[in-house]
Amino acid sequence: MLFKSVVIIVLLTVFFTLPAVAEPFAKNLNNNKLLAALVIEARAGEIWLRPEWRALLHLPPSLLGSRETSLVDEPRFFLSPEGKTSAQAELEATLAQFFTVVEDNNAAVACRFPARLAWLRKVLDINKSALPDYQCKRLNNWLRKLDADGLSLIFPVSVLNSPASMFGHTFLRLDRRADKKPDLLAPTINFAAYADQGRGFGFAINGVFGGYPGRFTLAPYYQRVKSYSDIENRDMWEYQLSYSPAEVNFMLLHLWELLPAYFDYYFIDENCSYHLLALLEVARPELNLTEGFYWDATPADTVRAISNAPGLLTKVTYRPSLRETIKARAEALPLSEQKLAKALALGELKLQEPVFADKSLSSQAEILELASDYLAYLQASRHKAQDVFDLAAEPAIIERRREVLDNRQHGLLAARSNLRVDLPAPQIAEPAFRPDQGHRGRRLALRYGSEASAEYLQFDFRWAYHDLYDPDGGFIAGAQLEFLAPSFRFYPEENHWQFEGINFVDIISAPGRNYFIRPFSWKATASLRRYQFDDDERVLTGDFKMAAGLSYQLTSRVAASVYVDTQLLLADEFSDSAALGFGASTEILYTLSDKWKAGLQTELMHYVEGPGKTRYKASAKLRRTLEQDSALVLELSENKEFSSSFLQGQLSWQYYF
Amino acid sequence: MLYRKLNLAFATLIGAFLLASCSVTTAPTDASSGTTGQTTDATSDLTSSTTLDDDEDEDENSEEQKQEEAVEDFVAANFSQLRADMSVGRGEYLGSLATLLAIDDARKEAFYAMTKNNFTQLFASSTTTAKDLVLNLKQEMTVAKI
Repeated sequence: MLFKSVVIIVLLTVFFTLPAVAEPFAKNLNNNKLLAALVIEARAGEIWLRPEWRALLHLPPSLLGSRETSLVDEPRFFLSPEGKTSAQAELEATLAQFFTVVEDNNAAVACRFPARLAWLRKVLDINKSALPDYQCKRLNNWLRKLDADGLSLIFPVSVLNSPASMFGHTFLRLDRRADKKPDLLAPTINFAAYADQGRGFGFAINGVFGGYPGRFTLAPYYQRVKSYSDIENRDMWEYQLSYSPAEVNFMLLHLWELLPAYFDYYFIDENCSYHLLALLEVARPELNLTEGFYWDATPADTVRAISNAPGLLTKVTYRPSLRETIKARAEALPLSEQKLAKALALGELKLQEPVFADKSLSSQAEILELASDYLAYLQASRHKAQDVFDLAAEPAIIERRREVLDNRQHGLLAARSNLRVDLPAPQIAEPAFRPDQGHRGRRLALRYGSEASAEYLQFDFRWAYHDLYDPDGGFIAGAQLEFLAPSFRFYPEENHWQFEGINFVDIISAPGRNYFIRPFSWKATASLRRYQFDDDERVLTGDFKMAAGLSYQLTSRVAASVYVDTQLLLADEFSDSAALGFGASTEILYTLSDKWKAGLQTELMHYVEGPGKTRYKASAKLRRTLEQDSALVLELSENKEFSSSFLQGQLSWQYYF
Repeated sequence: MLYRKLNLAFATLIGAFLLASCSVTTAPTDASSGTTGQTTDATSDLTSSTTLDDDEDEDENSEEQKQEEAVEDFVAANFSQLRADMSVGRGEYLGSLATLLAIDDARKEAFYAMTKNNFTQLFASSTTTAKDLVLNLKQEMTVAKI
């Protein structure tokens, strides 16, 4: 690999310097003089330290004492062999090569690095006539094809059921505002890892160690809407940014420099969100968007950085997913008509049957529109139970089933087109909070509690992201995603500190089922925590839990879930050091208002192995949001852990940052 | 003993973490829709606009040809959404198609109404392909003088 890069650099250097030697001596001398003067000027001003140049080279905000290294890992991105680590060397090499003449204009450095050229010309005041005369035909064709004068950041919200998108995603859309080009036709800029094979375990490992090249790619917006909104059922938010046409143009010049380059892709810090912010900074270095992201960059944080930057946001648009559209359409109809729509979509009811055909024309139209949306949902996703079994079925059978659905869809739409009724587009209410208006992901908590009459103070930290009792605004209902949450206890009576445990992962996906959309719920946890064994001994236990269940949105304020649980406990107290448990749990959540939320939880587990063999917990929680960034939580619970049972009460103050 | 626990827990942690954050290119592209009856390959479109070697010579491809291709790509990728929009004679996809076809603002309403009124001519059956649809559209547009 190293050998290859060296060869490429050597070849490139030879390639670019050879024609220069062949140039007439006089012009070369003139150029050399000018170049020498420019280098002196650049050195005098130390212009490689300017944020604009740092942004163009993708130097990350430096930690104290660390060596400055560009995030770009493609050797061809650098014109100097030391370019990756030396901003000055790269600047001087770039300057020098602008003056060398190359026969193929498109391969000239001026055409490959147009943003560097534009910036250096501005800063060093280089006259165009001093430079060789270039026609960057490919670049200009490309710019014309993109035809952009505006910019939006797009945020498809997370879906827990697809692990690769738990935190959501971000990409940029190049708008054409001057002649109101439809959004769907606009090109988008995406940064993603290029994996040869699927998303298996190897993918995960490579992802964390930067084993995959990350690249910027372009695709029309309609392709993204299709995959996120129609197939994955993710709502999308479109943040229109206040970039001027000139700024957009400069950003594109730089994107042109980046397209052939790759970055080693890291899931946690150097991910899509980070690199998009870096791209945005190129056109407006004063934004300093990447500053706050030393350790990790979640898409929601990116969006928050955008909305916090003064004057950057001009407009936010909500694009509901197909699932939300179906929900809104269904809610506008009485249940009897919803039933007709579902029966039509499932092929259980014929269009000619009087129960449908005798309805008023506008009712028929509404029912048909809901039915065809629902059928499209069924076709796009594999939520129907029988589809699970399809995987094992013959391709011919699957093909036939697809044909049946296609025919039915065609029939529904043809029938709709026959009705001479115009209905307004369905009204879908925008959520009260945008994703950037929710609480922050990291959380500190201080709690005072009493457990089996021992009092304690507990300190909790959480790296990411949201739990069911955090303030909901801006988050998906019924979804919990927690990573890395250690806690420590202090017992004042004994003046004694103790490591209480750590939650590695804690995920709950509990989307409410309705008459049309019927997703399953699940939970998964991996943690170390203390359980009460005999003799008041609280033992640190490895705790792994999986649960599957159903959730219902009973009213607009009340949601209820039921689960079947399995659990694996690891501790020396068990014979074989492990105990496998089975049980059930329930949860009822009551959103009293924006600020108040209450919940009741029960959990009963029976263990194949272990002292006492059963464990249960019944608890009640009450949360009061204080401000956007803090909340109070009161929790009371009755516990039986193996052979001891006790009461627990806790009051905690939580702070999000 | 505790080490074993820690190891296990860490393995899980890493497994989960790696899966977090951002999505993967393979994900959106293989999400070709079964509903259109034809696969639209997003990758081809991605690479065509990212490769520098791909020099689009303007002289060879006339503007008209390019526009034609853009229409076909759009219809192929959004077949089912267009079909739904046409059945009601309105919608974002239909509006975008009108722009791609360079239909004057003044004629757009007529175009939308035409797609609804002539729906069964445009989509003769459920096996109508994107190509058929483009041809049928052109025909109906000529008849309706749009």
